[in-house]
Amino acid sequence: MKYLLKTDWWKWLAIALLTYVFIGGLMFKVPSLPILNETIRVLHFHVPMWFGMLFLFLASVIQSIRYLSSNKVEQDIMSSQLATVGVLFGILGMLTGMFWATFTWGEPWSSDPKQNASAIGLLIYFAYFVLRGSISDEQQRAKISAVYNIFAFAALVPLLFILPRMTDSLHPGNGGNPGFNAYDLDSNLRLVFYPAVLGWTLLGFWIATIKIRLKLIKQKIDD
Amino acid sequence: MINLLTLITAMLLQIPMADSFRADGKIYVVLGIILILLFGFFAYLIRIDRKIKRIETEINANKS
Repeated sequence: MKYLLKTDWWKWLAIALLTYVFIGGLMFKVPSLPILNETIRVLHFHVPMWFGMLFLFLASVIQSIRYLSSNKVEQDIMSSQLATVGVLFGILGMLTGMFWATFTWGEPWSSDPKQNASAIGLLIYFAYFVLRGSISDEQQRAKISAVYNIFAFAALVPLLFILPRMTDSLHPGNGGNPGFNAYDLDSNLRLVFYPAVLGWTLLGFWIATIKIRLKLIKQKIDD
Repeated sequence: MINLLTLITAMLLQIPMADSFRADGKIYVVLGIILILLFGFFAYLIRIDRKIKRIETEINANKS
């Protein structure tokens, strides 16, 4: 995280990757599948939101653990700001998913296991911010929210990646539904999807570093 | 195998794709607009980034 705060080159990488993703994602040939039609291209925009969210939360939880061992305020700031951007990505992922589902699954919310699980996961993270907001003592807030953050992440992973796979889900790769292997016959999809995940994630980290730096400046002024 | 299957279903079901839209060339208009927006947001983000950097150096200069 310290490295990301100091360097700039990966921001240009994010711009390059996302430019490529928007061009490739709209123009490359995609497999013709029933119901999905052209909406299969959503793969490059909706799915990376969740991947980005996960990487941001992962970075956030790492900072939380490091805070607990070092007691440095900077680590608490990094952790909280990374979680904020992670939640933003999650909300965007949910909205785009619901919009897409309206036209493919017939309704925005089918109470699909993965939909429900991701809603629960986001609620757990909303509680993280409620928790932060309710403690005025800085040290205490940092410590308690760091511990809660670890729990939140530990709850999120099974919610998103294990429980939906135990039952039938409309999402690909879950239950009786095909995973990537079923439609990666078109390697064009992968050609855009992987850069999309990296590009969107880097964009998330970019926004997060700006928020972190802003908080660090504010802290310096307050001192 | 799956490749063949999708091909057959695609031919049998006549799955509608935006082929004619692409052929008409109008998709490039959409792509153009999206790219303008994207670069607009990138430029904005870079500006914010630079502004913060300026404040950071200012504060560090005052501190030392």
